[in-house]
Amino acid sequence: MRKLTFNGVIGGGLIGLLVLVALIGLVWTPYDPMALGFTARLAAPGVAHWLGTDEFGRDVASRLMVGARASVWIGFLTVTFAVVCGTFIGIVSGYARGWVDGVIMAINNALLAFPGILLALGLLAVFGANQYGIIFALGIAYTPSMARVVRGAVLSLREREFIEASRVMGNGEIYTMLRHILPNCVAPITVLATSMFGWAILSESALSFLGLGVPPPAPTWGNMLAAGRPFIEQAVWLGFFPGLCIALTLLGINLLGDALRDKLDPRMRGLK
Amino acid sequence: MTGKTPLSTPLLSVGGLSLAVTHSGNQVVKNVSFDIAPGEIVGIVGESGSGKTLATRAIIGLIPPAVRHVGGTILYRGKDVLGMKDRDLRQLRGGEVGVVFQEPMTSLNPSMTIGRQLEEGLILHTKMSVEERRAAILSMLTRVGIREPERALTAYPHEFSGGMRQRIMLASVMLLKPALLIADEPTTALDAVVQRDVMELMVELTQAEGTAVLLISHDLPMVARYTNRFVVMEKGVVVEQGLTEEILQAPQHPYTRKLLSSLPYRGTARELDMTRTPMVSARNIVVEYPGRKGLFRKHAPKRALHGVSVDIHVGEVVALVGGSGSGKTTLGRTIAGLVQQTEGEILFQGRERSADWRDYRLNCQMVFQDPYSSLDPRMTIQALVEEALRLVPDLDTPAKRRRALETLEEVGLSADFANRYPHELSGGQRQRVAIARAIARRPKFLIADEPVSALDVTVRAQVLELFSNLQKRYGFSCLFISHDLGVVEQVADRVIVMQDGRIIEEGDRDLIFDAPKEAYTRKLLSAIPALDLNQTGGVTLKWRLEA
Amino acid sequence: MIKFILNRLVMAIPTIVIVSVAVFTLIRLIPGDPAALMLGDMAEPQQIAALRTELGLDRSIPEQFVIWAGNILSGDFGTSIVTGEPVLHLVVSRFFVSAEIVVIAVFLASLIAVPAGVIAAWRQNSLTDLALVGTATVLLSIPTFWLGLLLLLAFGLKLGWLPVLGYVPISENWKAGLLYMVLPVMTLVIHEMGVIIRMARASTLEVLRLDYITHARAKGLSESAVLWRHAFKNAFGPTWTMIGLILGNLLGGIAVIETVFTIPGLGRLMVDAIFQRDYPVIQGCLLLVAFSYVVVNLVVDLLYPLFDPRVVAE
Repeated sequence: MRKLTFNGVIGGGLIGLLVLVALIGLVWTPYDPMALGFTARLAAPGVAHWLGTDEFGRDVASRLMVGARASVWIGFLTVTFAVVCGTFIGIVSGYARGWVDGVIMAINNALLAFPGILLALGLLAVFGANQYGIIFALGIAYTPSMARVVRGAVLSLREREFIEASRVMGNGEIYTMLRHILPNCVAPITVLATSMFGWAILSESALSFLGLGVPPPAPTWGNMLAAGRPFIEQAVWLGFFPGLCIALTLLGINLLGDALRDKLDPRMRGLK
Repeated sequence: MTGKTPLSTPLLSVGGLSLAVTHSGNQVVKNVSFDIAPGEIVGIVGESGSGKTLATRAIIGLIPPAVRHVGGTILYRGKDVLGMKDRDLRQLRGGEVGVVFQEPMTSLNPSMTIGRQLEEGLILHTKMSVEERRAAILSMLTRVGIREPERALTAYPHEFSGGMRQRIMLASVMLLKPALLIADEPTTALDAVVQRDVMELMVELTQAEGTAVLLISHDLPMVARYTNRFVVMEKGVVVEQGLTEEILQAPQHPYTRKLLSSLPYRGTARELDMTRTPMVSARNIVVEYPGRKGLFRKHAPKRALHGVSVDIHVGEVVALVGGSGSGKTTLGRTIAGLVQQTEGEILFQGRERSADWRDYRLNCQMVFQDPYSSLDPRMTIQALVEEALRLVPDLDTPAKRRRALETLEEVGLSADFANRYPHELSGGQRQRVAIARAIARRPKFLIADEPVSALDVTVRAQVLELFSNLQKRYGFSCLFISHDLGVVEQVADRVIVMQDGRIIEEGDRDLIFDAPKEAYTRKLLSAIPALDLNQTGGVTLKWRLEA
Repeated sequence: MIKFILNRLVMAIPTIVIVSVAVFTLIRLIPGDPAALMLGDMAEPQQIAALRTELGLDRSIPEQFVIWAGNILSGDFGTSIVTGEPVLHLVVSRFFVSAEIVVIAVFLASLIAVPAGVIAAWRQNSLTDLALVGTATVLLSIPTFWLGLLLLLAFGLKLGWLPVLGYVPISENWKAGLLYMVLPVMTLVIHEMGVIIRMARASTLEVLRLDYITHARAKGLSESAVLWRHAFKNAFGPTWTMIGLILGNLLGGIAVIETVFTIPGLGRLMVDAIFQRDYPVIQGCLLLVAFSYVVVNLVVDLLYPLFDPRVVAE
C-alpha cells in the first residue's frame, strides 16, 4: 500500500509540475524564448540565465518552458485521437465479432507489425513535418494498440454473466454496450492512455531530434536537444537539460502508470 | 475407519497456534489446538474465512509472507516445526508430510512432464536408482488408475482431465510414503461421481501405507463420512472437536448445530396441477456449436444437446442435474434465449415464444451462478435492480424506484444497501441482489443456473430458504440447474437427469431419489451421503446407495 | 506439432499482404504526382508522362497494386531517385548494420535483465526488489538519444576510451568494428534492461502465485529449485514474446541511435530518404522492417512451445 502511494505521489507530482510549468509558460517566461541575445551566447548556467543560453543567446530555461507546452499539447491531442478512434474501433470489432471483427483485426494486426515510430515516420512523409502532422501520425500509429486492448476488454466482458443478465432482461445491444461494456473498459483504457502520453512525448522529441518534428525556431525539447548536439563538448547544458526534462516526464508517467495499474487492477483481474 | 482413539504419542500436535496478518495485526488463526495420531484420519471443517487452510499450511512451514506466527507450537513427532531450520523443514515436506491441493488444474506444473514431476520427490527424498524410481512411479500410476502409465511419464498435465490430474497428484504424494497426508479440499473441484472415487482411492492408499490424513473441507458430510475425528473451525477459532460420531449425534457448540442444520434436507412433496398448459415447453431441442474452422479441414460441429424435451408446469420447480458436460447449462441458456437452438421449438404458455419475444423477455428471468460476475461492478445495488424494470411498461420512474426498494427489502437487504456497489457486499448478499433483480419484474418463469454453488454452507441454506419463500409467494415456475443433489432434493418438485446432452431419466423428486431406474442416476446418487436430522440437533449419516 | 507450425506460418500471410497494401497506399497518399515529385521541379511534362507510364501510374489503382506487388515479389523494389542504386540492395545492406547492433543489444540486455527480474519477483517487496524495480523504471524513462549523447560525451570525448562517431563493418576489421559498436549497444542495453526487468518480474510474480509453486515447495524442493526449475520456465513465455516485440520495435526505432553515433544503418537511410523525398527507398525501408517484424514474431511464436507445451494443443 505504501509503495502504491509512493509511486502515485512522485509520478503525479512530476506530471503535475510539468503541466504547471507548461501553463505558466503560456503567460510568463523569464526571457522571451525567441529573443536573440548577442551579448550572452553559449553562456553557462548562472544567476542571469539559470540554465544558460544557446548559440544564439536565447535563454534555455524560457525555451524549455515553452517546449513543455508543446510536449503536453502534442501528448494530449495524440492520446485523445488514439483513445477516441481506438475505443470506437475496438468496441465495434469486439461487439460485432464474425467477419467484421476478422477484417478489422487483420488490418489492425498488420498495422501493429509496423513499429510505432516507423509507421509515424511513414505517415510524416504524407502529412509533412509539423506539429499537427506529428499529432496525426502518432495518433494513427497508436490507434491499433488501443483498439486491440479495448477489443480484448470487450471480448472478456462479453463472457461475463452481467452482460448475459442484461440480454436476459431484454436490453438492446447498443444499450448494453453503452451502459455495461463501455464503463467497464475505462480502467484498461486509462492505463494504456497514460503510457501513450509518455510514448507520444518521447516520439515527438525523437522525431524532432531527427529533424522531422516541429521545425525550429519554435522550441521543443527534441529540437533543442538536436540543436545542442554539436555543442555537446563546450556547452553540455544545451543538450543536457532538454533530455533531463524528457526523462523526468517519462519517469513521472511510468510511476503514475504503475500506480494506476495497481489501483485499477483488482477490478481488471475480475474481468478475466 | 473404525473409531480409533488418539494414541498417547501423537504424530502431530498443534498447540495454541495463533497466526496474524502482519500489517493489520488481525488474528486469523486464534489459539488452535488439535492432535493427529499415526494412521488416523482427522478432518477440519469450516467455511471460508475460518482459517482452516492457513492453519494447515503452517504445519509444513508454508505461511504466506503477509502472515506472521504470533503464538503456539506445531510439534511433529515431538519436534517444533516452526523452529526448524530450512533444511530440516524441506526434509519434512514431501518426505514426511505430503500435501494434496484443491485445484487439480493448477497444482501440476504445466511445462513439465508428469514423469519428471513425480521423479523430483523421489530424487529428493530417497536414494533410489533411476530404474527403481521408474519402476516405483509406474507401479504407483497403475495403482491410482492411470491407464497407460508408460505414456503418462512423457505426457504433460494438460493432456489429462481434472479427476485424472487429482489421481496423479495423489500418486506424486503417496510415492514418498509420507507419515501424514494433508488433503486440502481434495475433491471440491471435481464432479460428484468422480469425487467419491478419488476419496476412496485416497483412503485406500493411505490406509495401506499407514499414513495419517488431515482432511480439510467445507463439506461436512464428506468429512463425516471418512474421518475418525474432526475439528470445527469458525473465524480462526476451534469451536468444537471430538469423535465424528459423537459430534454428529450430539453437537455441543451452536455453530456446529448451525452447520448441521444448514445441510440440505428433503422438503415436503407438493401437489401441483399438471393438467394445465405448461408454462414453458422445450420440444426436441438440438444445439450444435459450429466446428472450429481449422486451417486445413473444418472440424465437425459439436452437438451439445441431442433433441431434448422438457415441460415446466405452472408453479413447478424442475431441477436439471448432471455432471459437467451433461448439457444442463446449455439447455438452461437455450431456454433463456442466450443460446440459439439449432432445431426444436420453445413454447411459452402454449405459444411459440418467438411470436411475442417482448412478452417472453418480460416473463422469463435468470439467476446466474457466480454472484461476483453477474452484477455490473460499476452500478449501485439500487440501479442494478431498477435496471430490471427499465423495459416494464405501466410503471413510472417513482414506481420503479419504490418497487426496487421493496424487492430489496423482500430479499433481506435494507435500504442502506441501495447505494452500495457490488464489491462492498458478501457473496450471499450479492446473490440476494441477483435474485432481487430477477424477481423485480414478477416474472412467471425463472431459470436458476447453479444459484447457490458458489456460496458457503450456512449462507447457502439462507439463500435456498429465501428462494423457496419467494417461489411460494409469487408462484413462479422455475428451472433449477444444479450439480448438487442435496440442494435439488430440498427445492425440486421434479428432477431431470442429464448426461452427454441427453435426458437419462426424469420423474417426481421422491421417485428419483428413492427408486432411481437408470444406472447413471444411481451412480450420481451413490456419490453423496444421505443425512437424517434427529431430535438432539444431530444427524445420522449413511450412503444413499452403495456403489 | 507440424499442424501448429503450419498454422502459424499461414497466419502470417494475411498480415504480410495487408502490410504491403498499407505501404502501397501510404506512398500513393503522399500529396502530388509521384512522377513529378520524383523528377523534381525542373522536369519537362514529357518526362513526367514517360515516368508515369513507366511506373504504371496511368492505370487503375488495383492494376497498379498488382504490378507493384509483382515487382516486389520478383525482388524489384525500384531504384533510388537520389543515387540510382537498386533499392533492395541498398536497404538490405543497411539492414544488416542495424540488425547487428539491435540483436547484440537485446541479447545482452536479456542476459542481465531476465535473471534480475526473476530475482526481484522472488524477493517481492524486499529492498532488493525495490532497488531493482526503481532502477528499471529510471532506465526505462531515459530517452535513448539523450543517454547516447551523454555516454558519448563521457566515454568518447572526456575519457577518450572509445571512438566517438562512425562505423566500421566487423567483416572488414573486427577489432575496430567491435569498438565502434560498444557505445550504441551499451545505450540500447541500458534502456531495454529497464523494460525487460519489469516484464520478467511481472510474469514471474504471476507464476509464483500459482498452486504448483506451493506444491513444489510442499514437496520439499529448495527455493532455488522452485524458482529456476518450476517458476522460471513458465514465467519466461510472456517475457520471451516481449523480447520479440522489443527486437522488432528497435529495428524501426533505431534511427535516433544511428543519428547520435552517425551509423549508416537502415533508420538513418529512411530518415535521409524522407528528407530527400526518395519514395522508393522509404517504401523499401517500411516493407523490410515490417516484414522482419513479422518474421521475428513468427520465430518467437514457433519457439514458444519450448516454454509452454500447452500452446500446441489449443
